[in-house]
Amino acid sequence: MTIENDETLQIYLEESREHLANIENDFLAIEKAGAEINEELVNKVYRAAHSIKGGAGFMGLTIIKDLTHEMENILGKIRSRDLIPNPEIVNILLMASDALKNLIEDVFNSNDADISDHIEALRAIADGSATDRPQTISGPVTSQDEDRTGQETNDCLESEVTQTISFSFPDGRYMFSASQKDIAMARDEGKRIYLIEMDLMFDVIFKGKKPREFAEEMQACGVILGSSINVDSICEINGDGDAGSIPFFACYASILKPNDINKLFEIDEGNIFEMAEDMSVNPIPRSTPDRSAASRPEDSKTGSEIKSQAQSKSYMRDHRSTEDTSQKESLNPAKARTEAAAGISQQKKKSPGKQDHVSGSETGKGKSKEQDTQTTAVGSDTSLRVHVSLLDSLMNLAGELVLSRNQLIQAFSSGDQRASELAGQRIDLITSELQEAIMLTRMQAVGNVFNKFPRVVRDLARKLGKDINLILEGNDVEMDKTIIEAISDPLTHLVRNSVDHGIETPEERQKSGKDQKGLVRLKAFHEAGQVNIEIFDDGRGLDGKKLASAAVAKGLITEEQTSTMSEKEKVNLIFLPGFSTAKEITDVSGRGVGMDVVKTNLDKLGGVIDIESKLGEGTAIRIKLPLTLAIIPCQIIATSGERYAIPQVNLEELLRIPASQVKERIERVGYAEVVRLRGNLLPLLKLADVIGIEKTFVNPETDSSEPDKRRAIADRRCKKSPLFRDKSAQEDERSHEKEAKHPRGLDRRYHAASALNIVVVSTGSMKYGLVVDDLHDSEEIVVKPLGRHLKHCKGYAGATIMGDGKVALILDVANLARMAQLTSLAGTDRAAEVSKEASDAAAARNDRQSLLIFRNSDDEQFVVPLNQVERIEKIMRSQMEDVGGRKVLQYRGGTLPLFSIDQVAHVKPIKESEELLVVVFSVTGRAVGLMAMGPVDVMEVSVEFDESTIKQDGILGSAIIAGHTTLLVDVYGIVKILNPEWFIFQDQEKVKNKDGEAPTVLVVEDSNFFRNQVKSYMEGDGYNVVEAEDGLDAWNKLEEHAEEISLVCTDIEMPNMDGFGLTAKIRSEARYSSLPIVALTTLAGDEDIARGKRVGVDEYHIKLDKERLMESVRRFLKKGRSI
Amino acid sequence: MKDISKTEAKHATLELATFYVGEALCGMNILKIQEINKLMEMTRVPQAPAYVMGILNLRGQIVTIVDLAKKLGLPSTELTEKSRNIIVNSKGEHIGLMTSRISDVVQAGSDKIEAPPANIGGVQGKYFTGVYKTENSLVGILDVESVLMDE
Repeated sequence: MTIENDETLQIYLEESREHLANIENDFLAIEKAGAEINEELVNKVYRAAHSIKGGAGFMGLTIIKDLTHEMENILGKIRSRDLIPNPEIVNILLMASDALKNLIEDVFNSNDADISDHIEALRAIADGSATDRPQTISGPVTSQDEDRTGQETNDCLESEVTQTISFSFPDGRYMFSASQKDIAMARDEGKRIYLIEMDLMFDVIFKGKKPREFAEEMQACGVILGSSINVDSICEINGDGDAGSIPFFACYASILKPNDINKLFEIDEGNIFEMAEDMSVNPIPRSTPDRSAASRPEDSKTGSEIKSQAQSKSYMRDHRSTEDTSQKESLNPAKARTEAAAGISQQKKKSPGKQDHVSGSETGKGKSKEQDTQTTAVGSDTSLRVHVSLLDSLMNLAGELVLSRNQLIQAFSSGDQRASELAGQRIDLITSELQEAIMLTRMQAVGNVFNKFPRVVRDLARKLGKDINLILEGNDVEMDKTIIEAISDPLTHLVRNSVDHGIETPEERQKSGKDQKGLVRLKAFHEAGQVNIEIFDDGRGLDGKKLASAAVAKGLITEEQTSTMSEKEKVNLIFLPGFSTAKEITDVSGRGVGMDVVKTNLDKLGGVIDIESKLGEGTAIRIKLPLTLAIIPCQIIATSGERYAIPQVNLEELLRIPASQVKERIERVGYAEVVRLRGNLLPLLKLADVIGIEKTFVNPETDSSEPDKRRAIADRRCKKSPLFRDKSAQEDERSHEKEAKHPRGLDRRYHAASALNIVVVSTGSMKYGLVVDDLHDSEEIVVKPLGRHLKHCKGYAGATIMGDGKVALILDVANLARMAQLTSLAGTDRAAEVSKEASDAAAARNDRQSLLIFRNSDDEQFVVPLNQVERIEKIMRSQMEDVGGRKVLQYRGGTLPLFSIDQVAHVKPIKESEELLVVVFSVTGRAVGLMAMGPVDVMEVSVEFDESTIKQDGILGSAIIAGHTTLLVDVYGIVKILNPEWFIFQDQEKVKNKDGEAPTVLVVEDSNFFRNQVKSYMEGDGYNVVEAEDGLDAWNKLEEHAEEISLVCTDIEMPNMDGFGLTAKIRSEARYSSLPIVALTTLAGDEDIARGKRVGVDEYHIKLDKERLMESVRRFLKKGRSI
Repeated sequence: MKDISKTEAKHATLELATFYVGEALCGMNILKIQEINKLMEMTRVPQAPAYVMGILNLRGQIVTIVDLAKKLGLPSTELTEKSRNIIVNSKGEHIGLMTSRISDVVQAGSDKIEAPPANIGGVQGKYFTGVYKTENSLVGILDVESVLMDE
């Protein structure tokens, strides 16, 4: 078999691939629709199959043609509703389309491929619905045959195959006869039948064409069904030229449209006729402007080559659009019958499979190019489809670039500084636009990968007996081609995992009360200059405990490590090399390679993967990927005078710890340093230590023996926390040395402050802080590979050239962590240990309180709980007004009553000074201001208040805070004493229980101080109080006074049984189901609140926020629990 | 060099670029050399092998600079005004060889090239393919590929 020339084949293959890419999902949609056949969809698939078939016939790819033909038959039946698509049929079709895909991929060997299985399977389906017709011929069967059903078909079958029809030019000059079958077959392939009358002498030879080439060209573009030549005049061809005409008549079938057909013949269009379905022969329409191109001289090779390319393109395009019309017609049995009736005479049967001749001949170019063609690899990565508008914009940019270059040259030659600056700016602008545009050419929609998943999921689900609904979102999100290609496998693995391990069987799902149909959702979206891909399933989720114990069993981690791991860390164990969770190895997933391979592959791409899973609810896997690999945004940092780049992908945040806070925020745990960051402990690595700069530091610019000295300094670091002081001292020293010989003032500017610059980086589940000397800008850098001598340096991902021409290394943060032996687990393990210790210690002492510290006079310190404070205002004494014996302040359009502690309590009077602070509280819905003195500070402390020693009106108790005896101010009490009338209204509205008695409240609190406080609130409002010291005590008391207690007010942190435990216990008993539970806490974290709500806490209140607490107690006692 | 007669130069001569590694005069086939420059703006690569002095930007390409002296087991090269980088193309990548200073290009007749003395085995020995005698000195001929063989 010969193969058509390169370009045509390429175009064909590309188009076929496109068709095939869509065909799969369409098949699935057809399957879904079942009996409700969506004709449009079926037509679409039909057309796709048909296009592939048509092209295959054209190219001489017989096997592909045969296969598509059979598929087409089935689809035709589906379209005509002779066949109801069921999963079996779609399965076979899908398998056939798979086979087709393989054939297309390996097109040069496609004709040797064995597809008999598929053909048989397809025919079996066709036979299943149609009557049991004999299928003896191995060659293609036209759809026309297939579509006839029943008795009628059998009747005309015999006759049809041997039929020939005769037809003639409109003027009846010449009579052709051609096999009906050939014509039908040609039509079936989307070809049109033309009758051509031309003169070989004038139309071929005189135009500089050779008759042989001409014939070959004709055969390359179609099939000559019949031809006739005036033999008498042939002998005159070799004559001297004025030999007169050689009339040549042909019946020609081609996929060329009437508009294009004359490009082939280049004769008077009046001599070309098209034979329509009804056998009428009509002249073709006068040609389009294309004609001018076609009539150009053909001598020059390039000219003809361009033309033939253009032609071949238009063949493909045209036959796609024409085929469906002609196809519909030819498939219509009624039409076919009319044809039969239109005077068809019976003649001898011609052998089928005539189309094969199409490609049996030489190509349209007439040059033997097969050798080259054979060697050219046909792969998906050799060519790329780019939108023309994009190419246009690239062209524009290139033009602009040239213009700017001219400007620049001109500016330089004339020495015009300003003009050169302008040109420079322009070039800057154009370069970035150019970069963007070129990037765009490489961008492909992530849908290219996503689209294969419906099939993957369907097949897998069928195999595993699961019912799964796959949702794809963000198909049009675009990414670099290389990344798209590289994520295909990892994503497939993840999706397979979700289907295989994630989603449960329908029975299991039903048991656990879920929808039988499992959900798998793939979602791609842009976020922060990265592409995020999320794979979510609502399956059984990952069991952290099981994972952990499996990891321990495999010796990947130790038992101790698991004890301090968070659920999320346990789930992320799945990424450890050598970890496979499948209970049994199926051929679906869990094939020995596991998630660690996925992770490694993604790491290579600069991607980050993260798992979140809730047992029984599902798993979400998130992948963050860079848009492209060639140019990446990086944060530039400096250490020891060298710049390094950290990819922004890995960058979480930049942290600068002022010198004054270094001591408090940096802690040492064993040999590890950690920093407190929003309640978490973050392991710290010093970049200089990790890459061992001290040791290898050979300053090329100086001749001094620095390395020794530095090593000594570095060795000194093993003391306690002065470490960081040492470091700064050492750096200062170094910078002095450097600056003396090689000043780099700017880079060193932060050192004097000895603050700590930390780059918080993350790779997957691991997060750590990298201590660097200096932070620079973030830049877009071009990644350049490092030489082979440096391939052992794992700490670098490459190098880049900075704006000043110097080279900077790109850090590989994952490998840096590995080099520092900060494995994901060890790092977080230590951190977890520390944070646990810290929280244990805190819990052991007491709850932590956020307190606002202020003063009244110079030596008396007061605190109020921070959460009671609304605002703090700074005022001048002159702003204060004395009205009606009260101090007030105009405040936000109203009047704010002011008071001071000394009005009620026996404390020193407020200091006479011009400036005053007013702490604004809200009491009984009104704002009041407490006059105070600075300095104010907020502290998070855990102290036990002494409520007896200094207790008095307006003072709740005392404690030692920051070395001072500090009084806790009772704002509520003070306001009540000063403004008793504010509370009258509330006092009248006492809540009574149904017996007319005051309700009883169970107050559970381990701290005497707080318990007494709450008790006094309750009693103040006229409730009876039952006290309990902890959860267990409370439970016993509740059992004892079950009848009386109508509300529980409990602390969370308590020994023996905590508030959560107590709540859970109460809620587990049906008889207490209507008992309201109010929880009191010092620091209401969202997590705690959520947890509380889960176990059954009705409301959360902050300790000492009497107002809200009492309001809610009142509400609950009045209305009960609102369930 | 002038001393070499034309007849000798005609047959089987090897053009050697000679240079100093520390105080030792070495030579290499001039055809191996892409360029000689005095770019010294190197970036250190911590954790690199000791013989790698750093990397530098050669017209947009990252070039690894190898300290020849260190590679040959001598004390590391000190950078001076006379230091030069010899850029060679080895296995598809550019590598710079740091030398203390460069010297002449000599036409070495094959009859004047001798096998390296047997007593310079060890680290240095394997890098020399021969010794070329001039009137007043000896030039050790380096085999660049084996010098640049990664370890």
